[in-house]
Amino acid sequence: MKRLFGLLKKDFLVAYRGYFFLIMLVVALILVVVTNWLIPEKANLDVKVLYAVEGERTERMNSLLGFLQGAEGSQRLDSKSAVIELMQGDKNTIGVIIREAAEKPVIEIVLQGYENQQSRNALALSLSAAIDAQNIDYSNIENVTLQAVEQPEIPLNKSFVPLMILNEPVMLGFIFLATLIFMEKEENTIRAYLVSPVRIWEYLLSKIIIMAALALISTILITVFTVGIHVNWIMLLAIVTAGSVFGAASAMFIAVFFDNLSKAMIWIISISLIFTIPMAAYFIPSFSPWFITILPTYDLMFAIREAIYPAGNPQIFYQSFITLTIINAALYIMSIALYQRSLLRD
Amino acid sequence: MISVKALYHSYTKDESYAVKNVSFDIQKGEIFGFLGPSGAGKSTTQKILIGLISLQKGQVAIDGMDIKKTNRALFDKIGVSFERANVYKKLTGVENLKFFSEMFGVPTENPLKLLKMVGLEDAANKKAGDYSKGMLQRLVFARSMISNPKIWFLDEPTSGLDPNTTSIIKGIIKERQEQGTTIFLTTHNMHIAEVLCDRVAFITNGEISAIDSPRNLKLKYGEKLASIEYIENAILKKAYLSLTDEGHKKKLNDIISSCKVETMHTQEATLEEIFIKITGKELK
Repeated sequence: MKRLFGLLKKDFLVAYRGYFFLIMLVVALILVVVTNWLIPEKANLDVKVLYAVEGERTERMNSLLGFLQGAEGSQRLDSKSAVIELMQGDKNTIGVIIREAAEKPVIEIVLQGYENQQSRNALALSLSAAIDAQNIDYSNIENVTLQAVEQPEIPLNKSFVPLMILNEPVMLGFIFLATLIFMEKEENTIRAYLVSPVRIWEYLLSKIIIMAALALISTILITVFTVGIHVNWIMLLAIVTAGSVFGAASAMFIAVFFDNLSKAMIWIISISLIFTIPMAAYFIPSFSPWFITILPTYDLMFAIREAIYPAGNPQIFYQSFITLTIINAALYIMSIALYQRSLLRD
Repeated sequence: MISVKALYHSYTKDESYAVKNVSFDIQKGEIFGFLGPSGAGKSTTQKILIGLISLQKGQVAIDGMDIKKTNRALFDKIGVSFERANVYKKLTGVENLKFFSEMFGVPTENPLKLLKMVGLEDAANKKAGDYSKGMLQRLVFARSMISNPKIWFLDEPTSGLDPNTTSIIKGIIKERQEQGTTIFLTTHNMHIAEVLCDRVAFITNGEISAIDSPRNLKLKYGEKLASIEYIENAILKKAYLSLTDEGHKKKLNDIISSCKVETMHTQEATLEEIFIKITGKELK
């Protein structure tokens, strides 16, 4: 324990004098300012529909046109070319061209090209339902919502907080730990450890603890100054600890294969970018292709959200916590073996 | 204290050996010099002894313990001064020593006392990143004494130091020896080796060519010379003549009897000259 405390004290001093704490605090402060004052509480993220009728307007088109007129932000234009021209200037629009052929309304949907299949299907279903609207007997329809929870509406700016916690305390720890290890590799101080009674596991554990401490301080600051104190702190601190250890252990694992930071930089940047890919699914949970869900940061992101904004889905926390714990243990054990091997290279 | 038998090491794990059939024993309280040019195998040997390279072939025992079977507690007994200064640049001199003092499981030296010994007391609270090369070298040397090692490995301990500091370092090494520390000194500075070492080993191409005390090596391989400056036919001339060779002895007598002698000194071969004579290589 004496050695571990000595290592912690030293790593704390090196991190402090390397401005790690200052950087973490400044970034946390910026995120607090951005959340509270720069991102609006509400924003209209709905896609606008631009539509046009080609040829004669018929009786059969009425229900569809009524649906389109009623859609928020929709706009009727004279022709398909006018729709396309306006769409090129506003990427948050889709086009609908209606004409009649063989006494049936024909709908042509003009998309920007980046909409995913789920969005396309949802749009097609909405239009289809609008056409058949008059034939639907609403009294036969029963809405069933699974796991219904009374949830206050989350302001848009505050809904970004889980993403910020994923990014700052967790991912910054990944970069910091890599920097710390490469600093020691370049100073060659690791050789001095190897001729002392220090064990590799102590050397690596001390760094992980420092990174977890940094992550927790940052998480508490960001959370208190954005969403306040009414969050599930046990869940939040536990999942952030697991997440920051994951970031640190991953950096440790990568750092063993390189001699210096410049050689490893491309890997560090690439892997940190890969870890942040699941953020794309944050506002569209239905967007969940396998290559996103297999990343541990996917569940981690939703687990952080569950800790801050409980939605009656604590399973995501347990699932993420257990998965990260297993991955962290595996990365730590592999790192010990790899460091021992690489440092005592024949 | 240190026993090395038939040590081999190949970085390429084939028959191309960096260290080949190296054997020696070092007694308690002895200063053993390991001398050789760059790439001779002295660093490889030292790295194996201090556990920085794994033992491939041969036997090494430190303080009676086979290094293949020892645990990390062995490192409580040894101290290593590296040639390349490897300290935390963001920590001060005294913080560096305090940190390492916490890594050992044995009573340690007072960091400030060690810094004072090597003349760094005024820079104790200065960041190591602001130290000069010589100061860093002294800090590494001081750090190697933090655990009061029974066995002390010194790799070029006076490299880059001024004559005054070199003299202080030599004094500390001698003092530690008197206290019973066993010292393994790796260097290519023959003067340091000659002054400090009880015995030296010459190593070239991974193999030991000779092991003995500097005095015995001189007696065995060196010869006494007379260096003489004299005037002959109004011209100043200089000659080095062996005092054991009959022809040289006769020539020396002739010079003394027929010429005007300006200066005359006897001198012994240096350890460096003996190294060149034995190994055929220069120390660089």
